[in-house]
Amino acid sequence: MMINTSKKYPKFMIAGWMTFIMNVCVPGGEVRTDPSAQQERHSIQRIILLAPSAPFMIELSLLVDEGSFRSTTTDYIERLFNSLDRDENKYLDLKEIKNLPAFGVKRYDQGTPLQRMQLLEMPPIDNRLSLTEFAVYIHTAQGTAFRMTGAPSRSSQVIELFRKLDQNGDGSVSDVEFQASAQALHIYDRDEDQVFNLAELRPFNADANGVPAQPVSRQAVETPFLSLDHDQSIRDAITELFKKYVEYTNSEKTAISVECFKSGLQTTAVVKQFDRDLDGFLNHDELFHYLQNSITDLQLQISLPRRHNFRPHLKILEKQSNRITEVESVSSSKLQFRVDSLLMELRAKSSRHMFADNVHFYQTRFRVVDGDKNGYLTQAEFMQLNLANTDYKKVDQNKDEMLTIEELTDHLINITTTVQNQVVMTVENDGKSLFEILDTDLDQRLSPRELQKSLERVKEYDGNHDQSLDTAELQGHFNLTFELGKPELFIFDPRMNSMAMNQNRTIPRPSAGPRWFQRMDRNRDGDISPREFLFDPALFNILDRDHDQLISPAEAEAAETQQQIKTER
Amino acid sequence: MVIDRNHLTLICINDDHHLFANLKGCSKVLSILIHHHNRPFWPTLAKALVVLLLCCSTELLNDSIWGSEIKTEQSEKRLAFQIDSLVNQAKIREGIVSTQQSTDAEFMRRVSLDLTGKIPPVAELRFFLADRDQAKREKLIDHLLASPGYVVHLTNIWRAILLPEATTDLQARRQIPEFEAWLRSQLMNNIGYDEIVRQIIDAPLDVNRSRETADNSQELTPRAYYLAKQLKPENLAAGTSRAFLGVRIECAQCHDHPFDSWKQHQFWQYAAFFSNIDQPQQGIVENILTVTEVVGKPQIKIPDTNRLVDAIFLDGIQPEWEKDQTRPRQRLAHWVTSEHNPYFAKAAANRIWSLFFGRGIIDPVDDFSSINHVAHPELLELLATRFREHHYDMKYLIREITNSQTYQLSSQQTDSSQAQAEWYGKMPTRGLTAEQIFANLVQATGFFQQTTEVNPLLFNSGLNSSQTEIFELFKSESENRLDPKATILQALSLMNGIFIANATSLEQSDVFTAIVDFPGLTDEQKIETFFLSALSRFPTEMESKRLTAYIASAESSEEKIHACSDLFWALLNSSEFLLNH
Repeated sequence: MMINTSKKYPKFMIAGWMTFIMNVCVPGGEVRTDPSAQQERHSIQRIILLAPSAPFMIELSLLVDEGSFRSTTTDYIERLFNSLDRDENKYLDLKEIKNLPAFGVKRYDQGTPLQRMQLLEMPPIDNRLSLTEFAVYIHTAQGTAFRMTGAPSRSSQVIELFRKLDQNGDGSVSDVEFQASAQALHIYDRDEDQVFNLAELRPFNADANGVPAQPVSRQAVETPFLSLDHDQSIRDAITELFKKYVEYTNSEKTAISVECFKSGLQTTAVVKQFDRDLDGFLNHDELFHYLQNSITDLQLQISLPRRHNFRPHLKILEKQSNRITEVESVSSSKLQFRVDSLLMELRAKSSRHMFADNVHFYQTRFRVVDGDKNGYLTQAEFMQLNLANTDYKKVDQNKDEMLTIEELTDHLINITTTVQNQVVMTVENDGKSLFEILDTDLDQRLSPRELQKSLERVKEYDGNHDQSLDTAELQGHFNLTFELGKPELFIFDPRMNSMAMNQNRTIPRPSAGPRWFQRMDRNRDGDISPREFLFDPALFNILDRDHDQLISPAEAEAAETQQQIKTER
Repeated sequence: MVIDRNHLTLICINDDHHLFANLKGCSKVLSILIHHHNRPFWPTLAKALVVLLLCCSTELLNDSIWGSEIKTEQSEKRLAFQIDSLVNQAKIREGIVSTQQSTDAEFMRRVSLDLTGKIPPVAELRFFLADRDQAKREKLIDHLLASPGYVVHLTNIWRAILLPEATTDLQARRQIPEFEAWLRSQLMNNIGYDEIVRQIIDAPLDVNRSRETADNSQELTPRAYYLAKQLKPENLAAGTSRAFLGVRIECAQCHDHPFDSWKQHQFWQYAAFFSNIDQPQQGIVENILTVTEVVGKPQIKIPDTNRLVDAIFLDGIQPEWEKDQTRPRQRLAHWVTSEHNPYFAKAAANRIWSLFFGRGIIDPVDDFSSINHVAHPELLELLATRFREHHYDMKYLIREITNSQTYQLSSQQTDSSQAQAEWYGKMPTRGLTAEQIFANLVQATGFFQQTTEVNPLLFNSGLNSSQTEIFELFKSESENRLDPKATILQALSLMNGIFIANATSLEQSDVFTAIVDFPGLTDEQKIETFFLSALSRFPTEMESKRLTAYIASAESSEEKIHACSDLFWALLNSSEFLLNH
């Protein structure tokens, strides 16, 4: 079998792919891996972007303080290590590695102890695992050192106007569907005033009613990115691929065409090699193997400071796909490019200072809430600290019901360290929502006139001019931030705040038009609809000169003037 | 000559030998006008018959003549017709004289209040009153059933029925938003009543925040029902049996039922179905994440005794717990909504009926006891059967009830026999809920308010004080709306309160100022619009005459405005505005 090993493919990919081919084709064969590739492998995190036209594979080389981001240890890892290290020599040897759990990852559940050791070791090769090597293994198998999160969306993004207007559910809103937008939304108009505000359109959310919700950091927000590390994450990715690229699936929806993964001629050739039954489709198993060893479209390197003090940096190591365009390096920690039509802005950020800031903040709060100034906090005083999800009894280490500032500091350092053990990639969708596009007067409501004009408004967004708007044409701008996990104190939720502002906002009466016009305009959208008109419908038709079924302020003024002339005569 | 048989009308007029067949629409009275003068009759008749036959053949193709028979047959099969038939039989038996049919305006106001919880907007009212379509009432009912107002109103009604404690208990009040959001989603999709009840009884209690969907919204569940009842088996037993089965078994909680046949152990046997829910801290039920529930045979101890009782359905059947490991609540949900349940369909149909007539066929609606007299047992049986046959489609039952002549009778009493509400000689006059009163005021005066996520019932500080004030003043715990009682405070609030004062002032009001300021209107037209806005009807000739004279007597334009303001104030304070009739 000929394998093209041109430098278009990253070393890791080739190595992984070789491993796969050898595992698949020569089951009894011994696994041979390059040590430097092994070293690189441990700092690599793969993610997949479900781009509009085809999936896009990104390989992130994540370094924290110049080392692998997976080398940080936690209490849990240390305890597990110690329980396996029977002879307590601080290393796991070939004998001890036999009891090493595989966490359901197939790759780690096969082969001899020696083969497993080779898979897990980092240079220098000494046939034993140190705590750091062990931590890397645990993080890799459990996917715990890297987390992706969606930034909380703005309220207008949450209401899913797009889905509500897409009546036939084909993933795009056609011209016909835009024309019928008022009818499609009618059932959501709870107060029957013909304008739709965010409260009417958004799904139920308990927060507005004072029911405590989950902290922002733990909320799941849908993003088009998926991480590929342990087996379960790959299985999840397969499910999402089937959902996203429906047009590439076979009629039974059990396999995806190899065409879906083309990023160039050579890529197609490689992908085809995973199509073992040569039917032109990758079924679940084939897809699983492909995703374990997929061709990378883009390689990025990100360095973040944790203990050391240096500026974070971010660079492209290699780009192998012609789908990446308009690459621009804004600074050493910022760059932007386009994948298909999607604009990506990437940024590496240091959150080192937050560690100290968090501790200082609560130390200051400690003094404020210690009402009786006795130097310790009672349970009631502790509640005023507003330390999310923290139990007084846990923080009060010696259980004397007197929480000292030292105990609090210890606790804060502990939780902050845990949080900082993760590299977090925050995905923020900065694209305009359909609601924002249609809401031309920015009153956070959609009026009959705005809906009437919806077709005109969205025309400029219809990039491919197919008389239909799909989500990719709208959500074309993502901000990706890479940083170490930060304390909840520093996580801000713009959605909640914007919603709160909207709640108290009163809509002023429009000032245009005669007084009767302003008063008859019950919903204050600047027009009188036939439903709002109080008198004979025939009179409405006379006033509505352009017959658009809405009386505008100008039409009302005209009627007023005409009446005055009549009276004067 | 006029021959009338089976919808064929043959009219012969002696005149100028003109033969003419007139087909009227599709239901089709066929009129044949034969003009014969100084001519033998039979040849003309023969010609007429030929034409008639030709017409008949064409009509047969169109399925119109016999179609009308089929249509009659279909309408006879229709539940609305059968309701009228049973009610009319009872009326004849009891010697009740029916009043006349309601006017279009009376009907539209009533049906709008009953289906959407508020009076109709003036524009729709004008359109409906001007419409000449024979089927306009039926069309209006369909239109209202498809409106968002229907979802909102029915949500208010069912929330009040299912969470009655929310009016007084602050803890239960906090559950309103989530419960309403869930109810709205069910009603918006017209989910069958049985499915709604199944979901409530078998509500998932372990739903936690990690199951939030991608858009941050939570998966809607009726778990708020359990929180409002504090997860207590006795509260849940009383609530579910009353709401879904029409049985007041909670009277047997402490001792055997004083009037009915329910025994104390039966109450606890029923309550035992909810006893597998384990709450770690008594009284603190805010954090539902800590609630656990086990499968298997549930048992409960009757308080103040040593008796431990197993879960047994109200019909005396004990489920076999060993067979399968389903949750007791799931078993109960299945039994409650099963077609063999003797109470469920009847209780549901009775309650829905009561929403439109102010009282149930069995009244109180949740008292299906052996001692409670039923005036129309066949009617209740019929409603329950048809409701079940239509998969508990609430819109179906409501559509049929509102399409019946019984519902469409006037509320005006023309005979003393109509005074007894249970025989439906006229439509009874009913009180309004607090929500309806506020919605009517908004509709009539144009008061501006935005829909917010915060339910005004929840917090009375700040957001919308007028709304809160009216809710507090007009809230009523009684489900029977036939005996509306007005308090002095209510009357004072409407007469002198800020809301009505603003609604009738030129500076503050919307509808009032729009009417008074609109150019080129006569006084009659203004009076007419005030009437349509507040009372949903045109003024009578007499009213119009007197009020025009009253306004015309004003000497200055300022006084004229003042007179209009007085008129609007009087209309908003009239009992006609404050009642459903």
